[in-house]
Amino acid sequence: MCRSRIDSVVGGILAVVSGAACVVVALIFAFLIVDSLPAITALGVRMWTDGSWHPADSVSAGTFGMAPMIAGTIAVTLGAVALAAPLALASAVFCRYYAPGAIAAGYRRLVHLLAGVPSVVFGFWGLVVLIPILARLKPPGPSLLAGILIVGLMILPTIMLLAESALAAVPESYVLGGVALGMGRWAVIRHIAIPTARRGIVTGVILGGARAIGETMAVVMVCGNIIRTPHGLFDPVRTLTANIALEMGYALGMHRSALFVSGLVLLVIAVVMVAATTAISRYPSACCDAVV
Amino acid sequence: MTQNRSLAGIPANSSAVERMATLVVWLGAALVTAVFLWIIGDILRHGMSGISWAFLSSAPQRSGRAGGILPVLVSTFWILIVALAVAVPVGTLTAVWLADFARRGGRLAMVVKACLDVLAGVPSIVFGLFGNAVFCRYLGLGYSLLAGGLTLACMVLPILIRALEAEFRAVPDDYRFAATALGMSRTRTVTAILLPAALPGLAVGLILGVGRVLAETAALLFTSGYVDRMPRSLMDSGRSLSIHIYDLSMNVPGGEANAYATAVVLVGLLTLINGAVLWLSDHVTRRFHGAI
Amino acid sequence: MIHEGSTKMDTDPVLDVRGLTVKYGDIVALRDVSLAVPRGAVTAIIGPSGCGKSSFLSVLNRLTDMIPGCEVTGSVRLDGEPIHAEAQNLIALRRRVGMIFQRPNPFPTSIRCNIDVPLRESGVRRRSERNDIIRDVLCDVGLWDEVKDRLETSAQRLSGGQQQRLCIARALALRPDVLLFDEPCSALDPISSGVVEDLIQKLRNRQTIVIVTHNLSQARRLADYVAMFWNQYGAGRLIEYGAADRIFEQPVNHVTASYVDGTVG
Ligand SMILES: Nc1ncnc2c1ncn2[C@@H]1O[C@H](COP(=O)(O)OP(=O)(O)OP(=O)(O)O)[C@@H](O)[C@H]1O
Ligand SMILES: [Mg+2]
Repeated sequence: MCRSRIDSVVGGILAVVSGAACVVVALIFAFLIVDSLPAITALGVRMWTDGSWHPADSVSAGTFGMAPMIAGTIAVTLGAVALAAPLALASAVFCRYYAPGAIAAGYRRLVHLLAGVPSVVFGFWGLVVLIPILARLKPPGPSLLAGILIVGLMILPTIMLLAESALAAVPESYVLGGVALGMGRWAVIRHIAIPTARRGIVTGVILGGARAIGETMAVVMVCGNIIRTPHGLFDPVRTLTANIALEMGYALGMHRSALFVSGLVLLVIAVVMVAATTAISRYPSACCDAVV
Repeated sequence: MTQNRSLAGIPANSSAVERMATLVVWLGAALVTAVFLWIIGDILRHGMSGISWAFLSSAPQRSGRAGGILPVLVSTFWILIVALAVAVPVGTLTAVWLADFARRGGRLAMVVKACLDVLAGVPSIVFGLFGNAVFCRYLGLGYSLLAGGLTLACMVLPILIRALEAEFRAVPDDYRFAATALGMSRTRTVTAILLPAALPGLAVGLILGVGRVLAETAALLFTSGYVDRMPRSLMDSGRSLSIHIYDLSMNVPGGEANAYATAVVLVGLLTLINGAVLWLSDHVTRRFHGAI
Repeated sequence: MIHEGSTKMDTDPVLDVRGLTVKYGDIVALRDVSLAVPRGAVTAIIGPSGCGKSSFLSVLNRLTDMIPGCEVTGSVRLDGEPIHAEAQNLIALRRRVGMIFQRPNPFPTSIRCNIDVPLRESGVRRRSERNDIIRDVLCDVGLWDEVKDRLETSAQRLSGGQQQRLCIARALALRPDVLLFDEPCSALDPISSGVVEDLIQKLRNRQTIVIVTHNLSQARRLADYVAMFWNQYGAGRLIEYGAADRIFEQPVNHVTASYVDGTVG
């Protein structure tokens, strides 16, 4: 194809505009790093090991330990994934292999709607409906468990939709082969469909986990936000994201910088998880061929 | 089509495991459906009664306990306009470049795509930190609708570009070959053929972006701020619908009724958007199938 | 249709098909086919593309049930029992009537799992017993020596011919009464194709076999009986059926005659 002059000019302009995405990524990293530096240089490893968070504008006036918040984030994320992944997989399997056509289509639409509900609405519902129920079971109510339930519900559509498209991509010849060997429905699903689709399912779980780590509003609204390493499901917790949302409004100096450090941590985790999913789609055998 | 075909025809055998699996899968789907209906039902039941013309057309009083949401709607609208005014041109040009100008698999295109993947994975609270540091402080915009809109523009960019690029790629290559055979430059091909052919897809991308902006809360907390007065310019601070819900439920005792009503407005808008996307994508596929 | 009064064919058929019609919506793939598959013999089905050969095979293990909109009428009896009966257990039927597809379709799991999983599902509980069967069937298809040291590696790393033999092995493991082959060699290179054909030769004395093939010389080499399908008036029909020698040497139907001569089709 011959390229006219106008094409090279237009192509050049478009390429420059396309660089905007890269510029934004670079700016995000640059500003987060720059604003984190004061805290990183002044506090060093104490930020990770210290168990108490009593921030102040200067280093001498406060303590800046993020350990309890990190524990909170890990607990909410693991719990939410443990809750959502099996339910999402069951939902995907339901749509593909159990539900009659019309029910499957309706259910898929419902999950799409669920995916579109804003996190603040989930949080609000958790606050006014779920927490009073939990409080009756075991006070105070706002707790790790509430966070796990709400965040689990929020990441369920992500995992389910990715798992379902992975199941839809399983070659029909495998399924028919299993059927022709007299395998029952569950055996076909368990031994053929799920192992074949595992890459997509794993990707869905990772992306769901990434969403759980980054989730802010719903967690702020239902987790109680007390800075303490949780010891049980009914303990209130504060996550890294909630901490930023709650304190950023008035933070100054070292305090502000410390919050930027936690933002940087979240950013790095997000990038690592994106890289993981890319690696899975590019090098399938490296990660999960052995896991059958 | 295969996507939607259910394989419900695989026979079940009579083992206990099979029956157990069937039970678990149906129960899982029923549970998800029930919880979803519970949430939506609860919001509608408590929120519908608060919706009236007066609610939509008056200002909040007593921190939002009474009165309506007009300034909130106006602020939301301006944030949306700013975000789209920036993201749509940049997104469209980037998508055109990726689909029709960049060398497939070229280094620059790979970098841009990787950046878009990263951008799509960044947690919204991190966008909030970034927006606060860059727009509010570095560029001196302060807490303002402009700062909030610009932050969200960065956030919706990857969503827009993905939807649009898929749409451009879906335009049959025959069109391109035919245009080239007629001696048209690539630029002319894009403006005369590809853009019109991909117009419905543009609309889908746009609507998806609108949905994401409306649902967002965390990124706006420290960029557009909380102020619930009627904004007089883009440099004023103003709160979005989602922040209004957050503030009423967390910080305003007795704000629950109006939070419910606002949630109905927000979920209603998002459901409309969801429906529009579904309708349009059906419409788009039909067009292309007719065209080939 | 020309039907032959051979004693073997009529006295004790494994599969007895009467008045079979298969439709996919408006498309009539097969109309009014009657055919008795003799026990212990190789029956080849030949005919041009699209005349309903695969559809015929899929009826015999009711894989047609998996195709939405597919409608089957007429009667099919397996050992005298109607397979379309209300009470028919589909899983049991498919264990008795095994099927090998045109493209090898091993599951993307290990070589062992490909045989082990269906075997376990069929009710062989003891691991040692399953291992014995796995060895036996892999020996039967001549794969044992080639794969015995890598049973745990992925079946998809085998060559096409090896994959097809694995698929035959896993069907054999269930001890079916009948094996259906749908053009088992057509996706393979000539050498692998020869190996698979030799294998079918080996199985002929132990197993009732129905094989669809486009390769007439293969049909000559393998078949005891030949059924000739042809498209007539927009539907697949059985136009001639009889002992292989007779069909190839003295066909009665002139269409069959020119088809086996290679002048049409
Ligand atoms: N799933 C299906 N849906 C609709 N029509 C079908 C389906 N499968 C087969 N057909 C139609 O039924 C007719 C017979 O198909 P079949 O696959 O049985 O032929 P065949 O003799 O096996 O052909 P080939 O030699 O090419 O494999 C064809 O016209 C085909 O288009
Ligand atoms: Mg066929």
